[in-house]
Amino acid sequence: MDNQIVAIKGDRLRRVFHLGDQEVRALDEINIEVYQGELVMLLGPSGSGKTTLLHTLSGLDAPDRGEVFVDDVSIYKLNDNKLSHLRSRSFGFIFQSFNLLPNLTALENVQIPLRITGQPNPVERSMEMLTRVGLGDRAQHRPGQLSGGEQQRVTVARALVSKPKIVFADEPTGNLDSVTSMEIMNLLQEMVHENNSACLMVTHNAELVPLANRVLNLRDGKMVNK
Amino acid sequence: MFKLTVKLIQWNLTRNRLQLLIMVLAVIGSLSSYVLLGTALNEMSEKVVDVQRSDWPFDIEIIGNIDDEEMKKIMDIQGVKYIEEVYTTEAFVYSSEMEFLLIPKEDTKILIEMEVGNVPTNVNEIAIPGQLAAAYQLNVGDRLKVLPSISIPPIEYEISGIVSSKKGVVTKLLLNEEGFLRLSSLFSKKAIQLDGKVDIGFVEDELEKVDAGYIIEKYEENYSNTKNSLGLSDTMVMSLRFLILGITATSLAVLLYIGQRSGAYQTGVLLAMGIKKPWLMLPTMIQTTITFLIGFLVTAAILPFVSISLGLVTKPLDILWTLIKDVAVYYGVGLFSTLIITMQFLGTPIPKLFKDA
Repeated sequence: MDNQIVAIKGDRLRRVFHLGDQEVRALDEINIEVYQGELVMLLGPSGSGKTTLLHTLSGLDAPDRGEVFVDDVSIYKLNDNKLSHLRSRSFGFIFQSFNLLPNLTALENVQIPLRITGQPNPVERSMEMLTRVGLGDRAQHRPGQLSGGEQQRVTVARALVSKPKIVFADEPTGNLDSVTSMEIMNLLQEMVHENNSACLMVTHNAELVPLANRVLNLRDGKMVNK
Repeated sequence: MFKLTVKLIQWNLTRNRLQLLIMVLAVIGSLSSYVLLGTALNEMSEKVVDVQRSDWPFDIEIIGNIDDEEMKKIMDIQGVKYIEEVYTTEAFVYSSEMEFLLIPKEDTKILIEMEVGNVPTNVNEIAIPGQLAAAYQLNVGDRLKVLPSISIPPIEYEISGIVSSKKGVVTKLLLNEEGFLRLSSLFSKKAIQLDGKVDIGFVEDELEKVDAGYIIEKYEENYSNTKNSLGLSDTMVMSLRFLILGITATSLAVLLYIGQRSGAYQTGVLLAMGIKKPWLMLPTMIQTTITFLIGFLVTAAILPFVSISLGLVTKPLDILWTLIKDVAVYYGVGLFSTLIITMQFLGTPIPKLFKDA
């Protein structure tokens, strides 16, 4: 693992939400770097700013102040099209709700990132990835015919099929039982290391912490330790 | 990407079938109202205007020898709606010059309604307007002397009926063919009804182009009133159609927005994965197009039956033609409202899409 190459960097990130008259600092001067090949877990109580940080770093929610750098490019200085392009090429996403497209088979769902970026051999590569996550024989099944654990395996395959530089995972095991959660995490860790990707994961599940290369704690929008 | 787009269209169409059904029904309902209400209002206004044209439902009369070819040319003049052959003559009654009309045989625009008695059926009978009967206290069975000209002795008729004084009913004295021949020879005029939109001067010019020898008489004041009334009616039809379009656009936009909200999380995920917005707009546009297409075909299939059951005079084929003519405007407005609502939806920040879901 080469942990010296910065995959993504957040510099003095600030994000403020207004709830009526109240000002909530979801992110308060956050500095963060995630290196290639490492799995970083973001922990913290509800409302501490974990998901906001994940969204801000992944180009989904612009900060009020501060910058996010990928390959020394400040991503929020890119226009909407270029930012979409960056996300499709360099980022992979795994969410708590699996949210696969219900009318697409597992194989077709995994193909989406490859189709968006127009990469070659989407079917073969997706099939390979599904086999890799142990669902080779379920490729033609639709999400409704798969268990929760299987659906999340499909989303892992979907997130990693284009070999992204960074994988963002927002409570990927939140809807799974402990055994399945551990299976998914092992799979994710293995594949992130295999691809030499960086992975930033938000979780509440302390049992998963041993799998992380690094753990970051957030509280009231501030990093309390690294 | 094309394959994914097809799948997204399929997803849009199938994820909420009830909503799609409601959208199709909304299109059918509003498209039918758009066409039928417009047609019904047009018919209504035309009838009202016919009544308002005064006692003579024509705007121009031509005297001259008109052969079949000329007749065809006249019919083709823009704004000419209807032509009828009429026979009228003038003669004196109680030293006033009055107009006499040979009762039209069939299919006439002239409104004849009797207050008392009957229309003349023999050579000696005459029907007189209510105003004349009131002025000279004449009743059915009384005798009336008519003087064709100073040099000819008066001709006597028996009053067979008194014509109603209602607005729009003819105010000429009525004779049957034999009775008319006692006063004058049969010399016809072509009476023309215009559409209430064309300029009467333009029609006069066009008639002169057909034959400069025609004697043309215009009822300009009447026609001006007709034009004003039809103008008002057209404004009403336009306003109503605009209102229906507005309601349709709004209801489709709301339904579409509800549908889009139901797939907000998936849309958020797709946007997060970097799919470009136009690729997500395209399936929505196609969904709207398919909805319109289904709605249009169903409307086209049921419209003739609905129009017949409503008792509209306009022929079902003409109503279908109106539907075809208007559907582009209708579809355009629907597509525009879809575009606006989709742009607004896709402009929502992705985290908000996750939360809204």
